[in-house]
Amino acid sequence: MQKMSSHPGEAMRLLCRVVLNSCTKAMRLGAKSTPGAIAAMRLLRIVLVTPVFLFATVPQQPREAEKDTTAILQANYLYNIAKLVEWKDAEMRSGNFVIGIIGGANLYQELIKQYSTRTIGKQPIEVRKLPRSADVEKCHILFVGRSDLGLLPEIYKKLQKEPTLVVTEYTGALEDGAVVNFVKVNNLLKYEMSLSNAQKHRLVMGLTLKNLAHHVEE
Amino acid sequence: MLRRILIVVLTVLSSPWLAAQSDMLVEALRKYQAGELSVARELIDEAVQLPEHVGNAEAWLLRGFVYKDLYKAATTVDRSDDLRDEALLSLFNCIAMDTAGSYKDNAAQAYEFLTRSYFNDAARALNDMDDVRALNVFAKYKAAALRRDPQSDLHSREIEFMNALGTVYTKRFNQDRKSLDRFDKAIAAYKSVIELDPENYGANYNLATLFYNRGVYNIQRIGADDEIPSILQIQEASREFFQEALPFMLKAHDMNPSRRETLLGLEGIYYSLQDQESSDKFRQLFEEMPQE
Repeated sequence: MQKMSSHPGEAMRLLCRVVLNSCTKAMRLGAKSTPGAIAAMRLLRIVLVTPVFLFATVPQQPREAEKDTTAILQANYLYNIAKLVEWKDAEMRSGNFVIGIIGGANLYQELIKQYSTRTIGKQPIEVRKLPRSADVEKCHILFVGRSDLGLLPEIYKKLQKEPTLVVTEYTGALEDGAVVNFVKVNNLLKYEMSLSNAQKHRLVMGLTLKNLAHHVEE
Repeated sequence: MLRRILIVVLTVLSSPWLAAQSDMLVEALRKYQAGELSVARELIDEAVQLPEHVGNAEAWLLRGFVYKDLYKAATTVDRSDDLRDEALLSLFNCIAMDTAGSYKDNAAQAYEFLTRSYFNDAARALNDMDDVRALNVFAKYKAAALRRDPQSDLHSREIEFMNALGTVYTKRFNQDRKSLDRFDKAIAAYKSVIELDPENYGANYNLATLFYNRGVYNIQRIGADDEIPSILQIQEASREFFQEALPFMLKAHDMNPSRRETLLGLEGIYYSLQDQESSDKFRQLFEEMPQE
């Protein structure tokens, strides 16, 4: 004669295992102890509301680069902008194509990951993480993140005659001297640009770039 | 144990009758007692067709137990399901016919065992990531439970099952992001939970996470081959997912404002919706919240 071993706790334990299987081998099918069932129910509750998704490992530190959607978008925008702008200065048309980043750690990582092996024309892209200082090296494109806006007045001043395309992400940036500024429009990341600022840096903004901008200042 | 009880019960109740006649039912019981289940099955199948036994609760009880034991001995899934279905049907017939209440308890106990075994099998199938089997046996579980008691409250079981099913579909979708049917099925599973229980924290949180991750995944796929127009299109598509995610995450947060995971979830959703102010607000709340 066989003893019937099925009881409600077993089903719960099995359901738990569905989601726990990849995490732990501790729970066993057919375990019958009441503490086990209670633990299983507790675990089920935890597991069902804590799937191993993108949120799960985010610590209190800055956002992880691969989940930083803004950084991913900005990196692609910078790459496309680089392709659609002409640097009139002959010296800028040879050697590496330098993209300097101040702040924006995730943007830097994304540029390295996705675009550092690419070229702009025949110029290999070189992505540089620059120190938080207004003494910037010569770059084709310089991005200054919102965490370092305090540096910008000095940077604008120092770069006013340089063939550097300054990209920022704050309201009023074009008035201050930025050539391209990221803006948030209807939950989307877009960009605006200033043709007059571009001209000051001897940059020719392509027609496609102008047409696709959210806003163009002449 | 139940089998032993059954044999005793049937033997005691049937002894005068056994003495008086030797028919298929008696033979079936003898074969059952001897462990010759296949022969017992043939005999009892025939017996319950006979006019003298077709309405006999005792015959249906024996049939239920023969089939239950055959089910337990079965080696293939299809076979065991068929045997279990027959066992359940026979035991149900026994309960319905047993107006004197002589066999009801034993039949009900076996019926419940078999019903629970369907739920366990559904869980087992989910464990194996076999959603088709899980849905099939869970439907059988519900049918069996409702046949026994049409007023059965299966609400909580349904919620447990659909939540776990949603998690299975989510895991399978995460393994292959091109399988959008898995995404749709996960959404449908969690939404069915919310329909049954709008206050289900797990379903609200998981649904929000599923939508959010889908939006993030679209953006993560952006690469050097994407030009500005496609960036805008991808963003618009992702925005829909982020907007879908938001009310469910807000609901989960309202239900349990001290959960760090929802604070972080809202921070991420608002960030991806380019709403820096709201994102910063929830980031701050997250960082101020003590570790769970």
